[in-house]
Amino acid sequence: MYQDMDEPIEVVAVFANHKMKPARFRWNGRVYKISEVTGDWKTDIGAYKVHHYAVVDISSNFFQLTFDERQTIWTISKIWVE
Amino acid sequence: MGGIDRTYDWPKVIVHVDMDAFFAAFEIRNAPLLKGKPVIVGGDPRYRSVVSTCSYEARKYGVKSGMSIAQAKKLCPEAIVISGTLGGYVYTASVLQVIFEHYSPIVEPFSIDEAFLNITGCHRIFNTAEELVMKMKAEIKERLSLTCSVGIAPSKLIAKMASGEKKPDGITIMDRDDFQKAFYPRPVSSLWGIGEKTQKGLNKLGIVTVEELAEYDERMLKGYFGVNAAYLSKVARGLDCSEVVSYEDMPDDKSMSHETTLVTDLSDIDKIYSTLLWLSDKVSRRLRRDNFVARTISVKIRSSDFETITRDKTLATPTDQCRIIFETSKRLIPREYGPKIKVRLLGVKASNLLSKSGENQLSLLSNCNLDKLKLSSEAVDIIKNRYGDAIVKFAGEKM
Repeated sequence: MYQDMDEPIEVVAVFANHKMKPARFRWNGRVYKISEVTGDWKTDIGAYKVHHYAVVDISSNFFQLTFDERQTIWTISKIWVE
Repeated sequence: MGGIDRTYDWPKVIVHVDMDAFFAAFEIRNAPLLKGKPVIVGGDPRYRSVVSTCSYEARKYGVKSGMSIAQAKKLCPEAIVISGTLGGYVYTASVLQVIFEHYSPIVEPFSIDEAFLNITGCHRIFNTAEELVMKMKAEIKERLSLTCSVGIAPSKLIAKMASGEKKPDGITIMDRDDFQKAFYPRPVSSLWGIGEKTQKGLNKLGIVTVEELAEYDERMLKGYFGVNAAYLSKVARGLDCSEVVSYEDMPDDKSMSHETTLVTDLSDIDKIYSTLLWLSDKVSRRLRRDNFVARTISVKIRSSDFETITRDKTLATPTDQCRIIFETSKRLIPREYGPKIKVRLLGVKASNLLSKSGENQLSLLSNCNLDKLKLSSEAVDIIKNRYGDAIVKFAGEKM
């Protein structure tokens, strides 16, 4: 099941084809390399967008990451735990 | 490709698109480890909630939409329950709408995961209707990694019935003859719009199959079903002349409402009022956004033993102000609710809507107070539009 989180992370993202995609992120001092972005969507908070990404890392862990445009901050919002 | 176009001489070609187990498929796409497992999407599994949808694997155990999560877990103990990603579903539905508009200018969103397209004429561009649909399905798959089932028919009714024939990921072309062949032997409940109550009523008349309903005298049906008799008779025969209506051409909303099932049944009247205030704020914001004022305010209350009542009041002067909607709804709650009868669900509805142009709100409050109220609402709307709804709340509002 998913565990809700709200922790800031550092992200390296790729900008291509008019899209932004997270490529790797640092969380709690550890770097996670993203092997696949399985889904992406956007939500609105007032006039600003929040970008959501469902990702899988190279060790097959599942995460949901969000980028808040207004605060220019990345967070890890969900993690899949067995 | 380039096969026979069965739709060639149809006066209208209607497509019904039904996303396959939409919410569950969205979650499985995001977390592929869920593939092949029974997945249930519902409310927060820690609280009481119901199944919104489930994967086909969970359906094999008898899990259905609307069932309580507790009941679903009894039927399928290994089911994985996910609380859902409403924002993701809404965004995906908006992408689907854009894709549909690549294939037809007349698209009618029917629900978050269903739509009708009138492709009459457009399908010639793609050679046949089937090829158009295959291209559209491929675009959905490529952009969203989701599948859908599609019905192609000369009417909305038959297209809707056809889309359920080959699930998941199927395409069914069905004319009226095919409809009769496929549906006549089936129970009346297999028809669109016939629920449990109507089915029981029909069964009492000795009508069990669609064919029996189609052949039943409509005048006799009228005695039992009143104005609905004509619909029942037509739907059984596969007759439907309704048009696909695009969102822009839809008539204005006749009412605006919000309701919520409470996390726990409430007996505390202050908590009931704070929920009512939150709902009144949501309704009033929609009214102001769309430039409407409402003449009638209603509340819906469901008790812990599932008894639902509604109460309404028509105002002397129509309003779009939260405070007036809240004060009116508060007065509509019968006294016994809260202290004697616990509340499970609350709703607030504004109806009898009027366009705001030229209207004057006098009412419960003096003109001066109303002006202040309007100004403060406008200021709050500006802040919320910029920073989101959570940025400003009434002191007594539900957190």
